[in-house]
Amino acid sequence: MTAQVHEELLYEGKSISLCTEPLALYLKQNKIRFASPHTACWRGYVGSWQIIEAEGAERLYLVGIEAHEDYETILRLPDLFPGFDKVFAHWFTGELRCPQGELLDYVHGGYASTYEYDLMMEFKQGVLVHKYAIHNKDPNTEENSD
Amino acid sequence: MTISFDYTLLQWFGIYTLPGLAYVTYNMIKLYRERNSKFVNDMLLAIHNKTSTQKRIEDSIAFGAAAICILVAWPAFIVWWLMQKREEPEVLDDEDEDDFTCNIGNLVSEVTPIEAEVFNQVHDPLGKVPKLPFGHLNKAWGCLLAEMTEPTDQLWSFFIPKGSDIGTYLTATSEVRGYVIVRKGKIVDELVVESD
Repeated sequence: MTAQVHEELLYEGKSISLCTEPLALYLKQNKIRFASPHTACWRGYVGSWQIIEAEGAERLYLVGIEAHEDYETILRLPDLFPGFDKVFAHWFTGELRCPQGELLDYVHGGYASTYEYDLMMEFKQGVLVHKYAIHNKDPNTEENSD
Repeated sequence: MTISFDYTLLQWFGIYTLPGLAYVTYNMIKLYRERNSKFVNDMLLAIHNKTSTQKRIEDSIAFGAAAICILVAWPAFIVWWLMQKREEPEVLDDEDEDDFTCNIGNLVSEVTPIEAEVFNQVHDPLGKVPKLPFGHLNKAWGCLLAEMTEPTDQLWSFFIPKGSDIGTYLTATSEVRGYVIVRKGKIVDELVVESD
């Protein structure tokens, strides 16, 4: 499986990439499937997300999407969520993994590549409850040192 | 002194052993077709020591004895095979069995649709969610309710803690919460309202 295109997250004025697909549950529950435009995007869409603070809590919103209904037809946010310019991801409970820093080890599959560190953001029903960082080591260097 | 031999009896015995012979031949062909590939044999040789001559002799004796037993007592083998067949559990076809995240052990409590809707009001200060039960999942909720077609159908809430098994192969990477329809003790439909 080819390495997959990352979702994009806007957070604290920065654009960072995501190794998580927060829209997956919504699509599955609504039985929505998109066409894959190429092998680096089997899910058929790329979403843009933003964490916005409101009433003292940081929440996760889908702010844009490019989804392939078929190879040529691209659907955007208003097509999927009519009447909404942003979509509160209240279904998302879990962790967003945001790879940061230098690419230490490229793996040609999924989101398996290793970066210098992963910023982990834990959400409960779309609300950010905890964040922390994991510092990674180059798996190849670790193997050599054993 | 002459030794008389009843060839008629021998002929009848030959005819009697024909089904057993057919069964032995069938199994020999089957074994030959399902034999290990050279790669597997090489791997086995690498793991264990080379098959000893004694082991080969033992295998040959065992095969020979089994073949003689089947030739002579094939009716008993047919009865045994039928009994084995009857005792085998029915294998469910994966295509027939829906793959749900929740299993019976994850059920929390039976609820009414009204209770579920009251519990699943979604609040967003920016108003980026429909003012409907289950928010953006309201349509999926409607689809779940539409599956409650039998008078005895029950709506249950479920919760799967992080790290628990999901189905046969997966592990929950986050908490999972939702609702299922239970019909005659089996889950027939599911709505996951919270997961990663």
